[in-house]
Amino acid sequence: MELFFSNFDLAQLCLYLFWAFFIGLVIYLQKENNREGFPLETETGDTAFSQGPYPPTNPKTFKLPHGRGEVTVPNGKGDTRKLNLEVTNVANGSPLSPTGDPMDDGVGAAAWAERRDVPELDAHGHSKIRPMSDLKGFEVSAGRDPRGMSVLSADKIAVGTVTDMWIDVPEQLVRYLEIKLTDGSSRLLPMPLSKINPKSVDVHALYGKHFPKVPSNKKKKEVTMLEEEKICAYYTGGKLYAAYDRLVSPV
Amino acid sequence: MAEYQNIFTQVQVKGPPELGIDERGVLTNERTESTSNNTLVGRLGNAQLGPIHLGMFGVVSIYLFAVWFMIVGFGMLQSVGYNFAEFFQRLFWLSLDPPLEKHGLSFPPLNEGGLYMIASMCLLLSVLSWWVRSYLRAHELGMGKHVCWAFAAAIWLFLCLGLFRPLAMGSWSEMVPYGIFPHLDWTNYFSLNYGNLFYNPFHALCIAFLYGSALLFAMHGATILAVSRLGGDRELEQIYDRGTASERAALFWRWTMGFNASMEGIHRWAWWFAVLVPITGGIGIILTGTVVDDWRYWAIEHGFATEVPYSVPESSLIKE
Repeated sequence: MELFFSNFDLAQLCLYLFWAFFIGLVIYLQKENNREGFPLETETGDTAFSQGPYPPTNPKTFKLPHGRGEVTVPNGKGDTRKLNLEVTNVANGSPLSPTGDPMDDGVGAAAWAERRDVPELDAHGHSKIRPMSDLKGFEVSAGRDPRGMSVLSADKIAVGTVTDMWIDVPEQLVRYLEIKLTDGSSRLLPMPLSKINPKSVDVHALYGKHFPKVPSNKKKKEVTMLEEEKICAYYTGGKLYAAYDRLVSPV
Repeated sequence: MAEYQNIFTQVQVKGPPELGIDERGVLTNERTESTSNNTLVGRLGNAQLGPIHLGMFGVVSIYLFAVWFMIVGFGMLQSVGYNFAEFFQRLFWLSLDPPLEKHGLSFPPLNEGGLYMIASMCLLLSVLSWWVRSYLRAHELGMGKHVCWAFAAAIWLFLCLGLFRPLAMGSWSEMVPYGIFPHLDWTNYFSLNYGNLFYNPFHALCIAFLYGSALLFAMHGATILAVSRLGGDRELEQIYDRGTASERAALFWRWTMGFNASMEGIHRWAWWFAVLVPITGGIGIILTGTVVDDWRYWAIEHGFATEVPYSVPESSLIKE
């Protein structure tokens, strides 16, 4: 007691008031961050016994523009689709194993979330991501233009050619390359997973055989957020599942 | 093969200039008309430069800042006898100094700190004017005021150093000189004069939040770039409609350190950590010389330092 109060002064008071404020702040911040991912679940999908040390967060509602309705978080709504995964170890927290092809099933490193099946909009209510061929006034201002280049998979197979670039209009950047595969169909390729080299566009994420199985978008000139999820997740899954040696630990 | 890490833009596209939102059509007349495209900047981010809003408060702020800048420059020039060669050679070591201690809180002669006071008034009004600008821009765009409240936290520290503490100490001489190395020497002197500022708990908190902010920004920047292949950089929509990008970002940290943030929440953590840097720093400054005049001695009295450095205070040992 004497240690704390014998030399009590204003500076010490300020410090302890700050600690009290900071503890309250951390609790508030963590509660705000708990709007996603609750209630916690076990690996088998049941509600977990322990929901963590923080009290439940009071819900708040986002009023979305352009007639998109409202979203309240937290809402406890997880994805409802059946996952082709099985529990292989009774210890909770152990990884689940895919029962089929994880890339086709969209699980593990190829997992996608059930987002809305509508395109993302810009501030004026128009589709944000549109093909360059459908836009007036856009041109390549720097860097290598990949249109016309051959697309090479990780196993060096030429899977198709780049025919178009899909642009995020308000942010003026390329989000997808549109590829015409050898069978004539089109697919989208996320820009961060493509490497534009002088003579080709290289895609490390997938092998040649995977490209026909990349999910496609329903409309020619529009891609919805759900479609983007499935497309991007498929390529990302290839980073771990495209070949057996990718599953081996790099260390 | 070399992997693309999404640090630089591979191919840049340019369309009609993006002029932003102006629903009521009233904002464009206060903005510059033209925009330009800089592809060097475009390698890292958005290549479009402009339009910029020039309003009353922006113009007043820039003007007052220029006046402050010229007064400081001429003050420095005067100190080397108007010799331009010496001015440029010794530039980083020159300064415009605050009033002498003997003047207290009264307005001193021009060459004994008066010019410094006039320059300081210009700087204060310039900073406050820019703050009003930041408030009005956010208001007219229908945004929240988070940027201007963060700026206000920085202004708090600025005022603590330049106004509140000198007033509390009864002397304008406590203000910080305007000069590169001189203001750094000021911080060194400040710490030495008040018994080693490292023992000031608010200084320590300020450092913790500063390092924490740097850490958080590196973590967040890296995390978003790492999930940019899944559209994670489109953060607003990910907040309303959680996608696999936010899920993977959260799981990465949950599996690494046991807890995680959400796409909206991480920005709240980052905002508070950043804002607490100048807030705690300002408190630490205000307490120095007024409430406590030797921080090391204060630490000894409060049980976390000893006369002999780096030993455990006996008062904190568990007695037999």
